Amino acid sequence: MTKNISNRVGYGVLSLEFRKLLGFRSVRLGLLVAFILPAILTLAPDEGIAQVIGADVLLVSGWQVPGMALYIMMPFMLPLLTAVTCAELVGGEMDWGTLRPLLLRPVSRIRVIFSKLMVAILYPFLLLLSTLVGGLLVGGLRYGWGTGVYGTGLGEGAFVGVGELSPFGAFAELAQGYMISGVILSPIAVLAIVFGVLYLNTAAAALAGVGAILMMGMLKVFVWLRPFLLTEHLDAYSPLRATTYTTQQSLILLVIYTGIGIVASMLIFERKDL
Amino acid sequence: MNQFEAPARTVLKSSEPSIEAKSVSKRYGRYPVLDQVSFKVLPGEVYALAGPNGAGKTTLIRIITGLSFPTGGQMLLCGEDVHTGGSKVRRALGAVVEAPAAFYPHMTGRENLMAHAKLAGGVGFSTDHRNPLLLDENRIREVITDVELTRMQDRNVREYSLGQRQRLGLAAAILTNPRVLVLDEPTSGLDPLGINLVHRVLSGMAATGTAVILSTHHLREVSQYAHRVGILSSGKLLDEVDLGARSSAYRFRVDDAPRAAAALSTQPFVVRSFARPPYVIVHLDSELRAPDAIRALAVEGIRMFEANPDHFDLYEYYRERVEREF
Repeated sequence: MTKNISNRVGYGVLSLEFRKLLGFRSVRLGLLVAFILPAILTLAPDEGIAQVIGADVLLVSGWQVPGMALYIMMPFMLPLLTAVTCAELVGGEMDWGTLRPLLLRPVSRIRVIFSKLMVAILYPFLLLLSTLVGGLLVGGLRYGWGTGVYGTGLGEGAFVGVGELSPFGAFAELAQGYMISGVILSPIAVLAIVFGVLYLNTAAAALAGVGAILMMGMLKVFVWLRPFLLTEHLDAYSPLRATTYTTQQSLILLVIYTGIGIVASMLIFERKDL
Repeated sequence: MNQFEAPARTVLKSSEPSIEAKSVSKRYGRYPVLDQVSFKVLPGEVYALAGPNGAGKTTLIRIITGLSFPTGGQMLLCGEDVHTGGSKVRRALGAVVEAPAAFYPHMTGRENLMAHAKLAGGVGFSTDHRNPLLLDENRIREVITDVELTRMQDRNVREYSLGQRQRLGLAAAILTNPRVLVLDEPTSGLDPLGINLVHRVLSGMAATGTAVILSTHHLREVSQYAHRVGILSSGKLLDEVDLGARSSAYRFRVDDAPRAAAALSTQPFVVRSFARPPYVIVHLDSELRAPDAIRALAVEGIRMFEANPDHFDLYEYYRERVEREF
């Protein structure tokens, strides 16, 4: 009976967190931006896109647009949207004043922060889904979704491809690339929660999260440190990446970082004065 | 008896206090906020924490509710350490620690209470009324009615006034019929009717055995229904005033005050008596013994012209006590 209640409470906290996430203005705005940006990017000339991506890009199929959008949004826009919203998951509660009432209930702090972490990890996947759907819609309307000789940008041969690609094959490449991108953004989401728990303030936590990413970008001057820097693995989705690490190695490291972040936020939150 | 007044300031006798602070201390770096604070609150007792701004009231309230951690000492709720006893300790707790009480603004008052009820153990999961943890929608309706928010219950909280939010906070706090009720400035931002309502609800909860602790600046109001007041200053509990005992004090205008004081002091139900001519002041072990005191004076042949409760001015006492400290 006690276990039953405990499980229900757990479900209650998780569903409440998810509902709160959808209530944030930054989430609705973020999802809208993620949905619209691919459409705006298709208006850019191929040369401009090629210069930003650093490879030949010739858009001929609707299946290429989500890949192109991912290349342009992953270096900064998606990590920024992730960091800001995930910082708000804790900081926003403090601003609303609802975190303390939540913890007055017979719910363990671990359960509360774990629910926030789960929702935080889910959020980048929602952003990516929005980008994928937006990209596919605008790409399909402009270039069609047919079979052709091209690459989605996320499979072998990048945007040029290695031969004829069916819609099913294109979708599989996109799904894999977007899933990998979700895993890449997970440690950023968790990092924002860690800072949120430390500072209990949205702006401070978001800035600290973005600052930490910029700092890691600078630290790559220490060559020996590079393999351990989060920023060195943000392009793990890309077949164009010039690093020596394989996608699997990058993903393992990112999952470890996510795990460390989860444990750190739980330990800090468990003894945090509120 | 006015409507603020508790029917009788009797506290349910129990061997175990519902709230017990054992030498609780709190420091932020080198700065002490609370210093060896100890007190007990019994079931059915209303305990008010008073003190100037910065005295440590809010910190103490947060430590009682487990939101903050003491750097020394122990805080017990119903005999269990609120900081190490796990989340189950908070099953006994109802609290409002924000002023105004905070809720999710995009949800209605009723939805917010539903969320609280779910977190407290569930809504509508079972019809097992033997399990007090399980709440049903009737209970939510009941507390909404208690705090007079029926008309507002389906409106988003962002549309609530400050006072309405405070009342919804009280509804959330009493939702589970808690054994311990902790409130930080519960009447802050309320109009006289709202204040009256809070007093009525708190007195009602105490009458059913709930231990109530609240922080307040409204001493004259709280002195009408609190049993004891703890005066906190610079992180130290300076004094505890037993208002229950004070309420059993009477002032009789008599023809011979010194003889009346001497006559009353021999009575077993008299705690203390002294002359303040033309009055004799008598502290009784219960306010129900006032007729016995009057009878004792008559038996001694002392003429009595007037009988009144000897009102204790908590505000004056508090001011004098805090000023003496500084």
